[in-house]
Amino acid sequence: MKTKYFLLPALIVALLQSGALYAMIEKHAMILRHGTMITLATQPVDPRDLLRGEYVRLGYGISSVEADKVSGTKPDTAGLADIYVTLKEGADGRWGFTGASWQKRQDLAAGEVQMHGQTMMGAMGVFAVQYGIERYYLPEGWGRAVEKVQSERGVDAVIAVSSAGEAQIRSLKYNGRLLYQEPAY
Amino acid sequence: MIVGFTLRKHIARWQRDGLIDDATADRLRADIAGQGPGFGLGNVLAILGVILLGAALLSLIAANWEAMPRLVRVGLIFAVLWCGYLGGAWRANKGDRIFSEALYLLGAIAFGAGIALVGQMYHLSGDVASAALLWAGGTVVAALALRSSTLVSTSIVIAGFYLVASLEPETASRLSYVWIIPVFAVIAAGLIWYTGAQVARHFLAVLVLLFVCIVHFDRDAGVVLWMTLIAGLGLFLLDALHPAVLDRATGWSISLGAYGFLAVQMVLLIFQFNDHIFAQTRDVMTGIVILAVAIAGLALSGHRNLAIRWSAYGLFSLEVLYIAFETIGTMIGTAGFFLTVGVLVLLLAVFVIRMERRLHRKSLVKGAAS
Repeated sequence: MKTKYFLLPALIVALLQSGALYAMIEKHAMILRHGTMITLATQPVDPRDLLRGEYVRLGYGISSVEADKVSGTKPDTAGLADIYVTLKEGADGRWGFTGASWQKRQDLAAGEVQMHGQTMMGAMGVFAVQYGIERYYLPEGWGRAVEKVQSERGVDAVIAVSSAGEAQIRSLKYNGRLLYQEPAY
Repeated sequence: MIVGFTLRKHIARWQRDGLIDDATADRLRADIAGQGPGFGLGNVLAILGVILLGAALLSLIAANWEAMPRLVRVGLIFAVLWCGYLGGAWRANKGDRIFSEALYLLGAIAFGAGIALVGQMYHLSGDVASAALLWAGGTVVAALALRSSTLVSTSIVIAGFYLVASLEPETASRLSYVWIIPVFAVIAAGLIWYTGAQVARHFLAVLVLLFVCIVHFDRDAGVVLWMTLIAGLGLFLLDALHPAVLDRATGWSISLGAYGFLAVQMVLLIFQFNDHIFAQTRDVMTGIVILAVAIAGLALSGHRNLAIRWSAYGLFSLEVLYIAFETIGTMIGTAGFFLTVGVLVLLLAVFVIRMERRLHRKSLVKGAAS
């Protein structure tokens, strides 16, 4: 086979792929650095499913949204739909559900934060919403400890929310004490 | 080369026994040597070594190793990625087909490891499928830019990983695989043509068959089975009746015919499985169709297509035993059942031996005629 000069294509491929990785990193680091910090109480997920491999699964109060509390026009799809949940800080410093909409809301009141999630259409009564913050990776050996305190309902998650509504876990707290804090990188 | 090794032994024996003269033996040896590296042992070892290195890299990420700061881990991935692609290009420019491909593969694995690392750094949940899709896409781009047949195979394997990951209920946009995999298959076929990849064709065929199974069982869709049945039957018949046409179009007539035959078998067995599960009465009817297909495979392609021949034998035997079990198996006792099965297996053996003789004669006649 005739040899061809492959260095330039290889350079382009390496640049593209590392560029894609860098863009992913930067996108999430931006949310952590510039997002609004809100605190959510986590709920114990089915204990048998808490620890799978090296991550802990987290559930939140806003992980299920009652169908009659969602405003806006319901999208006409059988699959996955976008949903926007509005939150407000409560008296105890934890943020709670104030409303949900199928469309992104532009008329947020002061002190309200909007989070983007996705839900499977076709559910009756209650929608299970995923925000991309349901999984928390831990260093080896940490899982058991977090699982134990989480089952006592004591763990709060500090979430960074970008202006677009993308959510990202910033840190985990136990009775107000910091369990684990995320560096931006 | 494993095949070449055995062949060389045969050539040496023929030469010693005086079946071929020295000049012919030398020409045969030269021909084997001229077949290129192909599926050589060195090639296989190089790829295996890289896969092991990649596995080490991936498990380093999976362990979420705290002793190494994240930025260092990111840097490590980037370094491996760049070394893989640039090193591979350097080897390719030197005309080294083996280590260039192996290094490209290392680059592709590093890209996947990087995606996994970012997901872990930012606790991204429920996106295994989209991560796999990004990985496959990046590998397709690399295969195209570097004209690498190994990367085509790699991207097909990653697409298979994406397909399986799509089944996890947690995954976002779970049903997109229904159209993504067919689009990917077309792209992969184009890449196979462009890079001249050999092994990747088999990976792609297996991916398509896996896709059919998954769509059927996941979506409970019967139409995909019928489409597969027709397409498979078409490929099988085209290979059996007009192999020259199919060969000119694809250069892969024998294998395409065999995969078509395999697809037909798979669909019929799924039909029978469904019948069996839902206790319908067409069970034996499907069985008779399956036997007919096996015999058609032997009669039409058995003399020249080894893959069809052996899968037809397997299918025929399996089906005879299954029908025996379904029809009389329930009426007779255990001892009687073993007796029946024993007699049946012996009859099958006689059938296979006679068939082999016939097919052997037929292939000789055809070979002499052409």
